[in-house]
Amino acid sequence: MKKRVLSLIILMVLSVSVAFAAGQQGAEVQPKTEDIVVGFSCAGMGNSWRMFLKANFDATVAEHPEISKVYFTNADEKPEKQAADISDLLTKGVDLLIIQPSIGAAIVPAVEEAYATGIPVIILDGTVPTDNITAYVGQDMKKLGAHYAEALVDMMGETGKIVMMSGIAGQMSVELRLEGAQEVFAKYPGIEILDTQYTGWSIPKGKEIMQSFLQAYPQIDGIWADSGLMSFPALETMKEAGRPLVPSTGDHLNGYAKFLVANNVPGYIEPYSTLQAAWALEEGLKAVKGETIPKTIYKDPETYDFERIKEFVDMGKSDWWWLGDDQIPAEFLPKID
Amino acid sequence: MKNLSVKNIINPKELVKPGKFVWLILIVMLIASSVSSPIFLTSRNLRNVFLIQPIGLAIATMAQSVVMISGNIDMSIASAVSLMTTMAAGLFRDIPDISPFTVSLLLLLTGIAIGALNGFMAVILRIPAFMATLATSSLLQGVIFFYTKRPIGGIPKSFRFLASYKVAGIPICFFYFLIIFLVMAALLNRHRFGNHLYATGSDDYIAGISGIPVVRVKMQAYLLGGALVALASIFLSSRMGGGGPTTGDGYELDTITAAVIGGISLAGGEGKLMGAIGGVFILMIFSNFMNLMDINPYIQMFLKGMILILAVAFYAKKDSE
Repeated sequence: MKKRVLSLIILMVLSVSVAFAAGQQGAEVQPKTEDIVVGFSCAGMGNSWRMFLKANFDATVAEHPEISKVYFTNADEKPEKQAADISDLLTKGVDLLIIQPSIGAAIVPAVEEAYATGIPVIILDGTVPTDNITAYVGQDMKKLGAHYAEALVDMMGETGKIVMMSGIAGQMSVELRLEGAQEVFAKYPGIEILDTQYTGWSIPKGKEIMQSFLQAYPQIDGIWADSGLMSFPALETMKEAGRPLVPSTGDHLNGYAKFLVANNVPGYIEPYSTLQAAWALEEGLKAVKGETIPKTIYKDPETYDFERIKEFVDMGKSDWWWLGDDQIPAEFLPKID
Repeated sequence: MKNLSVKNIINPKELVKPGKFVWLILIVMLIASSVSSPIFLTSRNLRNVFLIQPIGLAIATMAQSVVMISGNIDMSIASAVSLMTTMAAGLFRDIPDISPFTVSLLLLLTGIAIGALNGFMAVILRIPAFMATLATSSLLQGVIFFYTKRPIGGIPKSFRFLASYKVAGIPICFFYFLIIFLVMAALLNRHRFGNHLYATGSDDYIAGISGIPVVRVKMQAYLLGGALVALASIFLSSRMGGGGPTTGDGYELDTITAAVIGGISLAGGEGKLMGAIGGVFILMIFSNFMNLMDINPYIQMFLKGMILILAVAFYAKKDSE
C-alpha cells in the first residue's frame, strides 16, 4: 500500500512539474478599464471592525461596473495561510490584489511574488516590509497613536498615572500606534505609565486586564487605548469596581461613545477607519487602469473631542457599530445587534 | 500485507479502516474539486496545493504524530514555530554575515531543547502532557516577547531559496519534505524505535513489563518531535521571509486536526505517518477549494470544524467496535 501511495505521489509530482513547465506565464500586464477581477486577501474576520471593512469594500465594488468579479479570502490571522490565499488569488487571475496583512513581515515572499506578476498590489491596515508593492493606502498608524497620547495628556492636564491597552501583540498596526504614543508620553515627565498590556481587542480580556490593573494600582488617572474595543470594557470595569471614571482614548466604536456620553466622562475619539478598504480599492483601480499612484497614500479621518462625540454618538445603535463608517447602502451594512 | 489485494482494496470494510479512510476522502475531494472548479487542475494551482503549501504543516504534523503515537500530546508547537521563525529572522538581522547553515543548526538545537523541556515535564516529572506543553508554550511566548514585540522581516534570499527554488519545475522544498518523511517512515516502520513507540503508546504498563524502556521512548518521541518542529520552522522561515510572536499561531490545533483526520489516535499507539500526511492534504485541498469556489469565510470556519468533529466521531466509533 505504501509503495503504491508513494508511486502515486511521485506520479503526481511529475505530472504537476511537466504541466508547470509548460504553463509559465509572463509578467507583462496591460492596463484594463473593464472586466476587472479583484482579489482581497483579508487578515481575519474576527470582530465587527473587520465586518465593516468588508462592508465598505463591497459597497465600493458595487459603485464600479468595470469590476466583473471579486474574490475574498480570510487568513484567520495566520501568515502562512495568507501566503497560500495570495497564491490562490493569483491562480484565479486577479487584475488587482488588495492585501490586509496578518503579519506583514511574514508574507513578504508571497507579496513579492504577486507584485512580480505585474498586477497592482495594494496594502492596507498594516505594513509589509518590501518595496515590491504598488502602494500602501490607509492611515498613518504611528501618528494615530501619537494623537491619542496628545489628547490624553491634554485631558489630564499633563500630569497623572496612566495605563496603556493595545490590540494584538506583534501586529505592525498595533506596534506603530503604541510607539507613536510612547514617543509623546516621553516628552511629558508628569505622565507616569503604570503598565502596558495587549488585549487582542477582546472585550472579555480587556475587562480581565483592567481588573488586574485596578487591583495593582490604587490610582489610575487615564487610559490610553488604541481602540474603543479596549477603552470601552476598561471604563465599564472601573465603573463596576466603583472607581472614579477617568479620561480615555479610542476609535469610533459606538459602545465607547455611548458610554462616554451616558456617564459624562471626557474622552477622545479618532477613527481608525474601515473606509480604508474603499480607499484601497479606489486607488487600486486607478493603477489597474494605467494611472501612476503614489507609493504611500495616507488619509486623515475626522477627529472627535468630547463635545463632538455628544453630537456624533448614536444611542439607538448597537455597541459594536462603527460610527461614521455606515454611510453606505443598507444592503451592505453588517447585521450587528 | 494481506490487505493489499484488489479484493481488499475495493472492500468497503477495508476502505473505512483508519489510515485508509483518509485516502478515500482525499480522492473524493480531488474529484469534487476538479469537477467544480476549472482552475483546480491548473498547473499553478496543483503546484501550490501539493508541492508548496502543505510542506510546513506536513512536517509539523509529523512531529505531533510521533508524540501522539507515544501516548502524549504537544500543545507547544505553535509557540515553538513562532520562536524559531522569529529567531531565524532575528539572527539574520543581528548577525548579517551568519550562514544559513549556522541558522538552521541553531534552530535544530533549539527545537531539540524545546522537546527536551516538554519531555522532562511530561515524562520525568509526570505532569499531564497537555498542561506541561501548554506551560512550555506560555514560556516560549514570554521568551519571544522579551526578545521582540514586533515581527522581524528581511530573511535573505540565500535562506529563502528552500521555499522558492525549483528544479525542473518542482520546488526543492518538496524534496526536503520527502526526505524527512522517508526517514521518519523508516524509523517508525522498520526500526526497533517504531515498535517500541507504538507499544508504549498502546499501553505503557504492558510495554514496561515487556522490557521496553518506556520513559526513554516517550522522551525520545518529544526530542524527535522538537527536531521535526525545527525542520518545519526552517521551511516556514524560508517561505514567510520573516517571523514574529504570532507567526505560528494555530499550528498546535492544525497539526492535531490533520493527525486525527489521518487516523492517528488521540489515545496513542495507533496511526501511520502516511495517514497524517493525507490529513494535511485534506486540510490544504479543503482550504484551496473553498477559496477557488469563493465560499463565505464564516461558512469555511464552520465546515472545517465539522470535518474535525466527523473525523473524531468516525474514529471513536471505529475504536469502540
